[in-house]
Amino acid sequence: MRQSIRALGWVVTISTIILFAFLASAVYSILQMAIFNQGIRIGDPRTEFKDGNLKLSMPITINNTGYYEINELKITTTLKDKNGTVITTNTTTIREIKRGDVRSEVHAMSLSLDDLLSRMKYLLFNDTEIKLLISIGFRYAYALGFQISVTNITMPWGAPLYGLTLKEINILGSNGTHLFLEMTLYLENHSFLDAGGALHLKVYNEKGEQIGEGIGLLYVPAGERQEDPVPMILSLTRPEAFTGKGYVDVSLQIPTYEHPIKLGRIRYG
Amino acid sequence: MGEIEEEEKTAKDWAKIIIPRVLRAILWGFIMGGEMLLLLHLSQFAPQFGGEMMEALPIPETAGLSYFFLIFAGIEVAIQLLRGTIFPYALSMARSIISIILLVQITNGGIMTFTIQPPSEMAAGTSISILFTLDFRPVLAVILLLSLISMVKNLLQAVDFLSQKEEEKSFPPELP
Repeated sequence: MRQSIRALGWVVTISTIILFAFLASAVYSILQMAIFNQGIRIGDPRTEFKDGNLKLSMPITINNTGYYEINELKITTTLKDKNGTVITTNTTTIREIKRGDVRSEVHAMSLSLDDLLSRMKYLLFNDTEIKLLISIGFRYAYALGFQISVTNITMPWGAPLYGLTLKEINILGSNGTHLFLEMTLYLENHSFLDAGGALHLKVYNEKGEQIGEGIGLLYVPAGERQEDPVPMILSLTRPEAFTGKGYVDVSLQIPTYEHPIKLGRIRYG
Repeated sequence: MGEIEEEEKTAKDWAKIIIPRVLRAILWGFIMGGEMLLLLHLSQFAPQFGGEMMEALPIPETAGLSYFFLIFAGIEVAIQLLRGTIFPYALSMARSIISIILLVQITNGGIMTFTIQPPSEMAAGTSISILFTLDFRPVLAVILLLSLISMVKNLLQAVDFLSQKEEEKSFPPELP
């Protein structure tokens, strides 16, 4: 009995010493690597806009100068709107970084404007804030897990069609088959990209019968506003039904979004 | 015979028994948690030392840890005072059970999250918050396992102590 008790006592003592020695070396090693040797480095983020996709990329370099391995290193970036709805998210995983190894990866997050606008059309017309969440987590020495999350990094979102208002339509003339007019609309492009596209018009008479349709071009450079009238030509499909009075349904087709965006209805005559 | 000896003990004899025990209890109480209690509450007694140290630690409040070390030191004092009886073994087991429960509770099951104040130039005019999460569940599991082994050891020691007492009582009086 006494021998067993003594053996148990030694097991507990030796195991405790080993455990705390391991913990002390692991904590010292991680502090040395992360703080003093700056072993985890995140480079300056780069943005690129191509084929309707906004790509945000960050170079990451891990130099494991510690005594133990780094496992399951995960870098996650998430973009959320003001209400907390996820706009886009991406995770880059590095499975294993042995001690003494240096690994470099590029963490990229892609944002399709087509997808974004189909889900959040209000971003076209309203300025808001987009929240960025960055999270870095890894396991050290197979036993300790670390995670640092930076939340609520806010970035302003400028609406490309801010304050869009259809003001008036002036009919300039007609040749019997075509209608020449100009539409006055007001908008401010608060976006960092130029805004523009094809304005589609469907013309109705006062009885609600469609009498023609047409197209005009809208282009507002980044940071500027549109106040001048947009000239347009409409093809009359039923010239006999044109009475000089009625309404026009206006929609906008932008290059990065395949579906037309309804801008509203405006009366003429 | 024993009763006669008890009656013959003077105050000086009692002092010889009690004072070393009390001193030993104070010393072991200090080693087994008292120094940590002192460290945690250093800022209250000497703000010039403790204040800066506690600010450096990412622990928002130290109440949980204070109870943990207070229980540890208190039980150690009782163990040292009651040496030579069955109580130290029972107290050791109680301490193991309490420390297991408190460790799990204080460390949130081995996953602790701290909120770190972002640097002033980063946080100016924003609501940026930095969360640091430490997951040491495997380490906690080993600590709990060692506590369990320690409990078993104390139980065996208690059994051994009781059986030894029984053996002393039932020793045949006719033997030399």
